[in-house]
Amino acid sequence: MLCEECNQNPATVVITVLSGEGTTTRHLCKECMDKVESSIAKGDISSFLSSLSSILSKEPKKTQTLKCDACGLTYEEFLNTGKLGCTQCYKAFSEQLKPLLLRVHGRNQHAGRVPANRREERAFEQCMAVLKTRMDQAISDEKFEVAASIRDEIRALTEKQNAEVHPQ
Amino acid sequence: MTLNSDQIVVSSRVRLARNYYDLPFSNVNRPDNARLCVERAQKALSISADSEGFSLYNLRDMNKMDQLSLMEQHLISRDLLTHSEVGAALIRNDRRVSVLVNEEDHLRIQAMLDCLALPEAAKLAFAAEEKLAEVCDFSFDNQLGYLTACPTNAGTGMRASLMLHLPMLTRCKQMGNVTQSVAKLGLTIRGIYGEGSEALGDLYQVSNQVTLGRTEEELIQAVTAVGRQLIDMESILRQRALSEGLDLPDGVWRSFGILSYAKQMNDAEFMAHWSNLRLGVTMGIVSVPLSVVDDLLALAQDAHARKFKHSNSDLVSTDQARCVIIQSKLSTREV
Repeated sequence: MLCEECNQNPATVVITVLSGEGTTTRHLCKECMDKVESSIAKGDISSFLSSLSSILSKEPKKTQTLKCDACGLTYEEFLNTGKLGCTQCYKAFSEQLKPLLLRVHGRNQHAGRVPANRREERAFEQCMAVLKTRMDQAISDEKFEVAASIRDEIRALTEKQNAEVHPQ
Repeated sequence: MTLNSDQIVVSSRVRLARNYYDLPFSNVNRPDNARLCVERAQKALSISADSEGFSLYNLRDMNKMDQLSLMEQHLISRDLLTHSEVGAALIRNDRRVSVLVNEEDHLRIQAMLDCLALPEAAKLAFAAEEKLAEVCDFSFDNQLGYLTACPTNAGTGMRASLMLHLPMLTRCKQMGNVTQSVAKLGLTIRGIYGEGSEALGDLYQVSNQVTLGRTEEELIQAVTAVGRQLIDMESILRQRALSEGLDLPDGVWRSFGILSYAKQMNDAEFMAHWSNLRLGVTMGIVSVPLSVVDDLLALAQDAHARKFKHSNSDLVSTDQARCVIIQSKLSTREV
């Protein structure tokens, strides 16, 4: 989810304050959390309390400010109609759509057909995923020579793929 | 007698939702984009008179009756009618494939066969899809698959559905339980014209609800497996009803009598008698070719009956026209 303070960056910190009125939880990004922390570092307790209370007193910003730059659809409009406006909406609202897709489909990784011009790319990705799983397994089994050989294989395949995509 | 699946399955349908990558999804207020989508689809599919060629239907050039009659044949969706200003359909002349343009998504590619044959229907839909993709790429994401206007269709963008005739399960009030059990498997049961429509004529569409995270084959297998189970349940109930006395044949013959001799009939009454007649034909009670009964399903609906009335000045109402259509069709039966 997005930071409830700036509504720009992904929230990475959760602040929970227990008070006589109950529990208040806010989700913040690193930048906004830094502002709170810098007040503590300065020893300025009144500034710290004021920035904290300002954050806690704010209602979480409504999602209606979220907007797709490509087609102009707001997230609130999507919630009202259930329809997205364009391909880019999936990126603009990706954080919000993730839980929705998971709830509807139970999964969030496409497993079906791929357009003809993407099939090689998809096969390469699937091959890489298998090799990485095998490498991780070899490491956890402490079979380091096997892991190193899979790592070399991954490297060689990646270089080959890059050379095909961007020939010199 | 043992029933085979085709006596319960009215049709198998596969629908793919696709959008061109470079245009906003909805074309309702974008006539230029809507036109471009039609042009692209037209360029991709050969427009010709042979059976595998396609014909173009621009909805705005058609009257309401003709639009509805395409819907009654399940060649276009109810949703396309709500976008009739920009909506179009490219329909293969053998009527097995239709491509709806400018519905909720740019393209809805659908293939329909009148038996239990979802893999074969899928093959037809994918063949049309590949041709359409040659003209312009579709919106696709490696993680989320094909991107659609409604995220509930993202992933495969595929809806595989079986239309089943389940009169005995309906009479035994089993459809509520069936619908609940099916939902747990990521499938859904709807009425005759899809989402939000009633199960007129005891017709139900079983289809996949989930579209992301499974392959097309897995989804088709799941729908087919549930379809087969429903066919078995319906068959058992039919055999039991037949062995229990005269109620079942009596109901069938009464409906056959009314369909054969009534002078006016509304669509709800028609659907109730049609269901009885189909039940009787598949149980060997009445001798009418099943294809005749299934043809009636589209031919005796409102839009078709209204069209027929307009072309025959002797007829005073749609309900009278419906009876004339039914009786002329039934008179072709082999007794």
